[in-house]
Amino acid sequence: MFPTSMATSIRNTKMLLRRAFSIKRNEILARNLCFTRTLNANEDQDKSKKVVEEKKNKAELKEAKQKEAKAKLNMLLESMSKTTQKAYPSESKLSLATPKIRAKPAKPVKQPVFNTKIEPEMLQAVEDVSNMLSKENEALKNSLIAKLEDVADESERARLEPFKPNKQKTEDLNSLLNTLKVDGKKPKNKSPAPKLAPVKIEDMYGAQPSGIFSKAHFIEESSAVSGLATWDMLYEKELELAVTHPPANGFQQMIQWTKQGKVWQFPIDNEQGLDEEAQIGFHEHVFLEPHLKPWCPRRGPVRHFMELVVVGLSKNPYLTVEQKKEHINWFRDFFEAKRSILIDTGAIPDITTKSSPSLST
Amino acid sequence: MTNAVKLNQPVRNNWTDWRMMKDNRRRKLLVQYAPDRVRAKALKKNDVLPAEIIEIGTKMLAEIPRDASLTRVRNRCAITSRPRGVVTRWRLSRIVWRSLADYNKLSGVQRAMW
Repeated sequence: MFPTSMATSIRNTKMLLRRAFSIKRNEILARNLCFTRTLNANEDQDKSKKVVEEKKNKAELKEAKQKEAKAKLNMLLESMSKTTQKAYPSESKLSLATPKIRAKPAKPVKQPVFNTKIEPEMLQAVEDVSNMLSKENEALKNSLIAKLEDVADESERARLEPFKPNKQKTEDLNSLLNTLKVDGKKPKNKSPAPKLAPVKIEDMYGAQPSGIFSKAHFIEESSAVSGLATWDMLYEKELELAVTHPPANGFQQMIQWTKQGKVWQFPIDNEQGLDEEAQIGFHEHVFLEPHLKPWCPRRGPVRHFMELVVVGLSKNPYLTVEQKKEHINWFRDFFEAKRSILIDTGAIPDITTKSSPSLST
Repeated sequence: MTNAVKLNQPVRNNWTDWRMMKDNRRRKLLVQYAPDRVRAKALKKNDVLPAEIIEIGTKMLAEIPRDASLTRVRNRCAITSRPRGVVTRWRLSRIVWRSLADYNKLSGVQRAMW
């Protein structure tokens, strides 16, 4: 029986709220007791006791209800089966039109006979195997060879014909994949790797070599000229960069140049870097007549020309002595080559008249 | 001004323009054919040797490629490839030269004031 005072109605609402927040029942009872004491100070103690009892009963009822609900849930879960049951039977009971099943005439499958050359090495291997297993067993050998031939034929056929997907095989594969997908549970604990017995190695290097690869012919990959010239060049560049360390900033650049001797030294010397040239005296630059002496005639237009050349070279400060010599030698060779023309024109006196073989008189 | 030549652009060469590239090519040829040119010219431009030799000299000079001639080389600006208004000592166009000078990048160059 619910007392109809304002305090109890307030108490009921508070109880509901507390239930919603799932506080312990003992705490609820305790708080109710406290609450009842403060508010129902004027009321009799019997009445408060009655209220407490009623609260207790309510809690018990609630417990019972919860237990019932749990039991129901469990039953439902058990009743739920994994396999989905079809609502309707697959075979319909209606008599519908069905197509006539006509057996298609089986196409004669062209099995092209290949004279596939079985490699002699393969044949030898097959023979060795058959010998190893059972010596002088002709039947075994023949069967093995026949199998080899079949395999070779099949591979040849497959190679020549374009690939056609086999429907049956694809269907099987698809069904297999589907069955795999349905399995939702992932095993958390990985099955440990099969533990093998530890290998007993008695003597690593003392055993006899098995000689498996003694007759093997390893095909070396033809290291022909790769047509990727740019790639090769870039690869080499990368290698160089990996080894060298180009300067990261201007300071490092200046340091590098100073070490290489590319930087001007102060006070500025115009001939900085030309150390070898400084050692060569001016006489080698100016007095070039000795270079003419062995070959050039003492008189004539050729001498005149070469004298002019020598004067010009002696006045040239930009060429090295080697370069000047190169020029003189070139003229010597040129006149030697055009000797006939020179003789015809009369620049050089005829050799037949004179005894000396060289150009000089 | 430090990144005058942009090196990370996808191009076949890093010259400012094709004229600069051709000018560079001419300079290289000039260096390569310089001795041949000198000798051929010496044979041609003299009145001492017989006429046949002089003829041979002219033929030799004609065989040398035209781009090996000094007159074909143009002192362009090293940055902008400007053919005119190039300050010789720095090999830069007057505009580039002025901008560098204003940023104090040219040693000893100062705004004139007198």
